[in-house]
Order: sequence, then C-alpha cells, then structure tokens
Amino acid sequence: MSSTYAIAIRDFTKRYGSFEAVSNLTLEVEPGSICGLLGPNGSGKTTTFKCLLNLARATFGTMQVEGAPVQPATFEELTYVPERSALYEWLTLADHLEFNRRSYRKYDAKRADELVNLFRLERKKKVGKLSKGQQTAVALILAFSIRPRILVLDEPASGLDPVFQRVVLDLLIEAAAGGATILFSSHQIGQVERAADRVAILKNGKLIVDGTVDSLKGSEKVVEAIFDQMVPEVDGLATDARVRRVERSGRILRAYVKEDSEGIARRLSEYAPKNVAVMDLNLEDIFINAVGGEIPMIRGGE
Amino acid sequence: MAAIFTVDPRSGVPLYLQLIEQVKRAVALGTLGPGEQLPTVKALALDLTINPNTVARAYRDLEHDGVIDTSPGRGSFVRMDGSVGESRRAVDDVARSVLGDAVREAKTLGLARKRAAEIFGEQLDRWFPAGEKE
Amino acid sequence: MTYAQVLRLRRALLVYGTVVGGLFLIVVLFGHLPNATFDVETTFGHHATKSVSSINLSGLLFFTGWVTIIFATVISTSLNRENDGVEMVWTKPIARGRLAFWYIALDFGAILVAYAFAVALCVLALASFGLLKYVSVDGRTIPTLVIGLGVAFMWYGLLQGLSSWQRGGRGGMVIGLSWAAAFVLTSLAGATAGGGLPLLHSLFTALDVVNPVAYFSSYTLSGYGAHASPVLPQALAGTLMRSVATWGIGILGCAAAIAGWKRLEV
Repeated sequence: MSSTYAIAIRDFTKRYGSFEAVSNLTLEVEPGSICGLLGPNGSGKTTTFKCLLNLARATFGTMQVEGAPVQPATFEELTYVPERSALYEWLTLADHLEFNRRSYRKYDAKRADELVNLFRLERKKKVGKLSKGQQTAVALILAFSIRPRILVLDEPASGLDPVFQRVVLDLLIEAAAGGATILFSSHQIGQVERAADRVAILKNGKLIVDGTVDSLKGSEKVVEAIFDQMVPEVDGLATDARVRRVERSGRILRAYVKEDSEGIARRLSEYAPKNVAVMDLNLEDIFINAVGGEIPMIRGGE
Repeated sequence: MAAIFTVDPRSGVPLYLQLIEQVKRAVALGTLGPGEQLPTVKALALDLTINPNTVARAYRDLEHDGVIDTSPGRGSFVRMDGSVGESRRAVDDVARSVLGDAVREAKTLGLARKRAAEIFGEQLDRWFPAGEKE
Repeated sequence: MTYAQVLRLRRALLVYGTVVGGLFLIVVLFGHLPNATFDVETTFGHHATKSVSSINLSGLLFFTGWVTIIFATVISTSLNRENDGVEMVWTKPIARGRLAFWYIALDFGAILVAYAFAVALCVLALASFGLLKYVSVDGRTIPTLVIGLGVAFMWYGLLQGLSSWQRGGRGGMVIGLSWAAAFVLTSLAGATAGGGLPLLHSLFTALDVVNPVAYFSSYTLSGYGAHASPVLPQALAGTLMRSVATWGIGILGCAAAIAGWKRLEV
C-alpha cells in the first residue's frame, strides 16, 4: 500500500481579493483510484484544479502530486482536460496530434489512432469547425494518447449526449483498470456513482461531504416516520449534527441523516409513530441533501 | 458473459456487494459452472461501466469466501471443488439475502410478526406443494 | 512544445512573403513596361542625386528595415495569443519561462528570415533591371542594417512586454495603439524641434527614448555620427548609442514579457 497519495491537497484556500473561493480544502486521492468532485456551479471545483496544476497560485495550503508540488516534469505523467476548450481552433486534429508527439516522451500513436477511429473524427478538419462534442473528443484523445498515470478532468462530458457520455466513462474506467489515478468533476451524478471510488462534495468552496461511495451509502440514509396524526414537533431535530435536512408533509416526517441513522430512528420512535423505517439513498439524493438547502420545494395543492 | 451480471449503481447497496451476490447466485443456479472462467476485472468493469476497484474488491471477497480462485496471469475461475459445502454455502447466502429483504419489506409495510409468518407459510405451501420432495 | 508557434510563424511568413513578394512583382512588372521611366532616389533627401549613377544600399536597407518592422510588430504578441486557453501550453512538461524564451527565439528567427527575404527581393528586382552594378556601400550601410533590425527587435520587445500578461485577444489592440502612439510622438518631437518650445521638446525627446519610430525615421537617419537627431535626446547620438538603446530595450522588453507571463494566473 503506497504511503504517497497520487494527489494530496491539504488546507487549500484560495482568495480573490476579499472573496474566498475555496476554504480549507483537504482532499487525498489514492493511487489507482477514481475520485469524483461534485458541487454546484461556482463551488470551487475548477479553482481547485487550477491551483493544483499551477495555473493559479493557492493563497494558502499545499498541493502535491505523487508527493511533490507540480513541476514541468509532472506533466509527462499527468494530463488535464479543462472544462472550456483550450485547443487551437485554427489547427487540425492532425496538427494537435503532432503537437503531442513532439511534446511528450510517452506519446502512443497507435493509441491515438484507435481513439480517432473510435470517435470517427476527421484529421484534416480545423478544430474550430468541429461540434462541441467533437472538440471534447479531441481533448480526450490528446489526454489519453500519452497514457498518463494521472488524469484530471473538469466536467469531461458536459453538454454531450448519453451515448457519448458512456464512451467517456468507459475511457476513464479503462484507464483506471490500467492503474491510472483519476480526479474528475462532474454534474452527472450517475457517472460518479458508477465510476468513482471516492466522492467529495463542495459547496461555496467548502468540503461538506467526503468519503467512499460505499461508505456514504452506508451512512447517509433517510429515516422515515409515519404518524397517526399530524407530525409532532421534534425538538432539536433539524439542528442535530447528524441530520442534514428535515422534511414534513402531512403525517410523514423524513429526516435525511449523514450518520447514525439507527440513533435517529430511535429518537423518532419516542414520539410513538405508527412506523419508522430507515431507507437507502442513492448518490443523487445524498448530493441534493448536502447541497440543496435553498432549493425551492414545489408542492402540489394541499 | 456480461449478460449474466447486472448491478444497479443507484441502489443504496454498495456495488461490490451486489456483484458478490450476483456471482454467488450464478454459481448456485449453475449459470456459472465449476472451473468456469470469470471475466477479467477490466472486462467486467467496462461491461458494467463501473469502477475496476469495485470489481477487484468483489473478486477478492469471493476468493476469501471460497467461491472462486484467482491465479495471477491466468484469471479468476469458479472453484472446481463443487463440494456440497461450498455450493450450499453460496446458495444459503443468496437465499438469506433474498428472504431477509422480504421480511424487512413486510415489516416496513407494517405487518406484525405473526401475520408475516402466516403469509410466509401460505407462500411455502404454494411453492412447495404437499406432494413434492424436500 | 513550440510546435503551435512554429506553425503560426510559418503562416505569418507565408502571408508576409506573398504580400511583399507581390509588391515587388508589381514594381518589376511595371518597371519592365516599354515606356517606363523611373527616378532612383535615396531617402536621405538633400544628398540624393536623381540619376542612376549610384544606388545607395542604405536606402534599400531603410526600406527592408521598415518592412521587417511591420512584420515584427504583427508577430510580436505571440505570448498573449496563448492566453486564451493557456492550459494547453502550461500543462506541458516544460517550464513557462523556458517556453516563453523559445517563443521569442523563434520569433526572432522569423524576423531575420523576413529581413533577409526583403533584401533578397530587392537584389532580384535590381538585377532584373540590370542595376546591380550601381549599388554602392557607404558609412551609413551598417548603421541602417543594425539599427533597422534593432528597431524591429525593440518594438517587438516592447509589445511582448506590454501584452504577454494581458487577457487573451488584447494583442491586436496593443499593436495598433503602439503604431499610432509612435508616429504621433515622433511628429510632436519633430514639430517642437525648432526651439520655440524647449520644455515640450525635452519631454517628447525623452519619451522618444522608448519610441521605436524615433530611431528609424528620416529625422534621425540623416544624422549618423556627426548630427544629433531632432527627435531623440542629445545623449543618444551616434550609431553605437542607438544600437545599444534599441537592442537593449528589446532585450528588456522580452525579459519583462517572460516575467509577466510566468506570473500570470488563469
């Protein structure tokens, strides 16, 4: 078991003037694992990537890749796929591949060819003339063609159709099966649920959820209590540290808990409900509960 | 090969546990015969579109439970022993899981223990008619 | 890792070669028309003769210098051009400073190629009229060459230094403004040279120290060695001083460009 994390972010803070974009973030990614970074827009995911890769400077904290701060040599083994296209619009796919061939020692032309055929792209067309999905494909081909040990991807399949998204996911899984470490951010919770070992959720620059997908599913539950009459007032439930969110509707009370669901269930039992049940949550539910405090709840007529 | 296994990522049950159960079920039903080879970690991860470490973990646990054998370089195979103990343990595990889910569901519906037992008895009579062996 | 820049320069040189080559072609074609007559004039005004007894090479180098200066300013914002989507080059296994240096080195090479190309075209054009034997060299030839290239490099350096740290896409604006400012400033310095407005003249000539046009305008070029330039400070007299100034400022500008680009945050 390696004692060095593939990616280690510790106490990372980034301020722009008086605005704190990321506060005290600590995130450690084991080698050979896939870590999904989730969060609403503007929660600090892209800022974190930029500071990790030295595209911007951290105000405070350390960022390390394989035990050392990022240096030029790191990029022989690490590729970054940014959210916005960083390609040269006036160059063709063939030009970009040649660029990679000259820039990296580990460029694998055969692999690049496989991927170009997989995505059915034209080599001689200017990248600026390609659709957004095709441009993303180009960025991915460039990233995978050097067989990197570490991949950092910012919304790798945003705005793409589901078939394409599955292809991207397959590429990530294949890379991970080959031992690569992957850190990626996504709005596609389903993707993260399938592919990630570990999940971290950011909100307003702060880490609010961090754990393996399995352990999160094990501890994040919803405790549902059904009462004979209207739901009684339960003192201190909403402010209980174990509870993320409380929902009451008619005779049903639901407490979304982050841990110790059994304990919360016992508490609710004291109010003599007809039934108390602990139910599983999927990652999307977990995410919405952690993040969506201010989501307007649409109710039908009473 | 992949059609034998399905997993539901959206379920609250960890994927590796789902996979372990799937394999045990296949072995119990005979869909996976003794000595038959399982897909590689990479192949199965790609087929199911899930994390390879999840598959690897499931395979490790299955080996620990004595259901499969993994030899480096050759792959993972269902154990040849075919001894009654192994397969019965596999079957028991699957049955325990299924029946446990059923009882939990009954309880959630608000059934009392006695009533649940009654209905369970009805179902036993239905599926194991008096004339049938075992 | 400078492949994109190589392709960019290749394209720029092609355009430059086509435009300049086209111009020369037109001149040559017109010159060869049956009734064509032309005066050969040097740029140095009152020293010129209007016969074809000699063609001063420094006059041609003045022309090639200016053409090269235009080329140099057009390609000068190469670092700024990366700033829109700079992740592409900043996540490569090369240090930022080193990469910026190579961009500048390549640009400089391209400037030299442009210069040589223009000179070659002049030679070819003259040859086509059978005038090569009249070309003469004098004391102004070397200064025109050195300072011409110096001004090209100086202007390039200034523009790189001003644009490398700016948001992507700002390059064109910086280039355009610099041309306007340079000519306006030179005119102002020249206009106030009479002696009536000594303070303003001092101000403008002081500012002209960093004005590329001031070093390569006819105001200045007629004053090599003995004469001071009406648009430059007295201290900057003579070829050596002006060479040091132009090349030196060029180097400083490039150094500032590299430093600014390294510190940029995306």
